[in-house]
Amino acid sequence: MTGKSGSWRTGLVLGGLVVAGLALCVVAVGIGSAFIPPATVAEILGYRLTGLGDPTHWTLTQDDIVWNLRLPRVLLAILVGAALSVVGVVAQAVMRNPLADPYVLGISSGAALGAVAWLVLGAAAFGGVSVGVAAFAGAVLALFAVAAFVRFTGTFSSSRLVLAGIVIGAGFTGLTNFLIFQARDVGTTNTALFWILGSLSGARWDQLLVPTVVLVTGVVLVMLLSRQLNALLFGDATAAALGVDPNRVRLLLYVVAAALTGVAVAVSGVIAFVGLIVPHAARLVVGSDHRGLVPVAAALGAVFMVAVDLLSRTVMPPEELPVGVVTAVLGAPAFLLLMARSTVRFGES
Amino acid sequence: MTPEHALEIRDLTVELGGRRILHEVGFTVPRGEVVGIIGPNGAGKSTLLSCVYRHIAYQRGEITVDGRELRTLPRRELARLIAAVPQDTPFAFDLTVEDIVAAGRIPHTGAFARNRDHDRGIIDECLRRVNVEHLRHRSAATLSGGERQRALLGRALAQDAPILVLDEPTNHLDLANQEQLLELVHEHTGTSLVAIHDLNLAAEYCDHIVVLRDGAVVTDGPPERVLTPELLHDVFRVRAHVVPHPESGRPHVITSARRVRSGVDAQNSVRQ
Repeated sequence: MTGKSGSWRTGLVLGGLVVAGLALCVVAVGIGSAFIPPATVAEILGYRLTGLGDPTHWTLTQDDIVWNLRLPRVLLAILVGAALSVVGVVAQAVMRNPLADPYVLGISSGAALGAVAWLVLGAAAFGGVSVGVAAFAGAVLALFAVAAFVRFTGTFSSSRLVLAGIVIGAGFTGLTNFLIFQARDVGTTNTALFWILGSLSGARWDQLLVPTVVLVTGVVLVMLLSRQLNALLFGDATAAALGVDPNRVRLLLYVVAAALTGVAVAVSGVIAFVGLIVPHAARLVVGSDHRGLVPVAAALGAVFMVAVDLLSRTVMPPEELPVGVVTAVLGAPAFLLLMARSTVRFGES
Repeated sequence: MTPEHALEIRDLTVELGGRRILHEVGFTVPRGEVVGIIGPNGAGKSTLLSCVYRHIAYQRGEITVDGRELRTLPRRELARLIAAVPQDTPFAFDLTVEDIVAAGRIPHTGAFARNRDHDRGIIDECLRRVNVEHLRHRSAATLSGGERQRALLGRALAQDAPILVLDEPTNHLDLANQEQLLELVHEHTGTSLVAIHDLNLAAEYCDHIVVLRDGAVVTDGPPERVLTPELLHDVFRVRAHVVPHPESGRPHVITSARRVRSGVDAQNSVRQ
């Protein structure tokens, strides 16, 4: 990771992921209720991006499906997969805890409560904002509740933070379930459930701009803080001795992680497991140096999410599975296999 | 002109959670010397060292490095002047020995920079110096206590700083590893400040010893002046003989026999 071979390896892994990811994207854009051959997809994309090619090779419907329906969805999968994985890396490093994931601070429960309240009570109760904004507000509310509780009731520590996050999250989830239960309307209940389990089906070009800006900025910021993340792995005292102010870096990373998670949840619901397993998988491949780990986790998370979304909308046609169901059903055994086969320990010291 | 002292500590006072941990601590660390800090548990040794590598903030007093107050230095610059091995470093995830040593280059690299050839050279050299080169790809979790401590020293050496701060580096190490580690510290050409429990190791490896008790300096000076039966009784509450080491001539502490101290019969003390 630090030697020449390490950098090589990271570069190779990244290159492989990008190539595989691009190929997968072309396939994913082609597959769905109407199949479009990969070659045609490539032609359409090429024409849309560069203006080169012969538009008579495809129909207007095909162009519409590729460009307006499926491509935004694939791009959203890339953004959300990368963001959740990078937040997972950050959460695990900052808390020095292999169980940490983007949702450990109660963020997901808060976002779910916001979204479900919006769905059940109606947009009017929220002053007409979109469901995404309601979800984001819920995420921020939960995060502040957790942070304020930890800050004002004793000394700050990672374990207190995790505990408070889990407990406050459970309370929020209870409220969410209450709202769903008392709605007694099958349509609302289904929409709410679908949202809680995560979905990328809402992707449209006009809704991609804000998430793109936030998610890309956040991931780049985390990459810029790779050295500090490396230092934090050795504990606060050693971090200080290495010239890193542990409290300042931690605060900065919490804010970035909260923004990334809040936005990801706002656009795609609660997609479980990605932020937990992708960082570990990436660590197994390129090691714990965050200079390599962060970009590889981002790429791996993006590829994984595109693949999972493709599965979620093709295994049970014409029904679409919530993407969170697929991540958990596929992710759990894959992760156990990885854990059993590797000689690596998971965070024991 | 550079000051004669690498490190100067004056009137250092630290309060943590309303408790006074250090009270007007002051001493100097001459350039190129190994200075040991001894004292009973809870005397404030770790707090004092934490102030020097800026993990704990001090309320009053000052610490100057090369004549400059360390709080006025940017943290990264300070980390290029003072390297430290704190006590009980946790290892999160599967850091390899090479990862550990390479972390010493953190204060020297920019945000996006990979390790350059220069850094790699230093990392390789430090792996060799602390004799863990053959373990470079091993996970830290699989290391023995001695290997682990050497790797951590390697990280501090890779910081390439003129001042080395070590907090009880020989804890949990067997005799051979204790000696090997302190030998490595001794070979370090810069200045070292080491908290140390074992008085005989302190006497053997330190040029200068500072004695702390209840957060204050009791005395400081060369080992032969500091380590006296009176001091051991006052500060450490043990009765002991201090004899010259047969080879080095340095003071050697032999605590009084149990039997003499407590009047227990000889058979009991043999069983001990």
